[in-house]
Amino acid sequence: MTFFAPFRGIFLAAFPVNLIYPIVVSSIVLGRLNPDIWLSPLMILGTQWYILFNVIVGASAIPPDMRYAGENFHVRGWLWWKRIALPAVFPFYVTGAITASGGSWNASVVSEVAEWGQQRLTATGLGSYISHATDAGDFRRTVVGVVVMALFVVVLNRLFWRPVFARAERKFRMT
Amino acid sequence: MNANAQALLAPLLDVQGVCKSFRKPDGDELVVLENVNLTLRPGEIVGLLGRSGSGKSTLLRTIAGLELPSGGAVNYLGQPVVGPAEGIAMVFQSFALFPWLTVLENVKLGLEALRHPEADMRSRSLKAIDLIGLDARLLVPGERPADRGRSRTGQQRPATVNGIMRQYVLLVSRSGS
Repeated sequence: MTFFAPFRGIFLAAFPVNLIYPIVVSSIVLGRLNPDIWLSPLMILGTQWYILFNVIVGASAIPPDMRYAGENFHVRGWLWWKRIALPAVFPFYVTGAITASGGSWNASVVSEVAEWGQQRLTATGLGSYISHATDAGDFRRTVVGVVVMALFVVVLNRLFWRPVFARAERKFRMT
Repeated sequence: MNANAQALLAPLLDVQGVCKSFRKPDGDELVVLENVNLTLRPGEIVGLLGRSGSGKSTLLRTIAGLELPSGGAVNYLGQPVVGPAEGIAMVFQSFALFPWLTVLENVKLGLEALRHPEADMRSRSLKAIDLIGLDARLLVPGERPADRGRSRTGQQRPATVNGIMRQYVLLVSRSGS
């Protein structure tokens, strides 16, 4: 736990993702990689910290007696993860994943078009559509893009994240 | 004296001069246990009484090897307890079950950790559950907590489990007995 001390997590989250743009862009250009795939890390990196924070909170919310019971039973290794740690942390993971997924849609607007000097990489996607529309000052396309993205987020929340969250709360709640 | 009688008189558990203190956030020392001596022989049932906060659970955790004493020693079957001791089972006050496991899975967990074969775990666990009059099917996956407590068996569960488990029970047993 000491390694994952919350302040360190916050410190890592404050790391500006822009700093790794040159590395990612030059690797994609030099390696002739597909920007549709390799720009994704930029999108995901900035938001996965939500998951980390929530998992840290979940791990510290495990009641001491639950830990002791595990020790008393000699539950160790994979069995400990499978029966105690992962179920206990699962609802917190889902909470973090919901936040991260929303944030990642947001981040797609800035990361699907990556520029570094003369190099400009574009991925095919809603994020780059919005990005191009705003660059061109095309108000209508911008609105269409933003509305579609908002719809995506809402529909995904309703159809995927809510059921997952409800199940996590129902089955894995520590009371 | 024959070997059997000697074994009966030898203490299962020997707590000698156990002290336990914690460091408070302001740096002061909080002494919870001071020079505690306790000897437990086979067949004895000992009740430990005390006000809340008087250190009963700290002593039990120390005996079970879940916490190390700041001073003194705990011996179980003549061996010093330096970690979670095998053969000392502890039932906790504020926590009885892993809520995401069925009763059967909860009971099996201890045997699972000792890598017992599946069939053996199952039959031993079912026997133990039967002994305390619980229904192993309770809390089967898919059952909603909202439904718990509505059925008759659902109402029995908290009552029975709490009745047996809410008090401190320290089961000291030799394996196989």
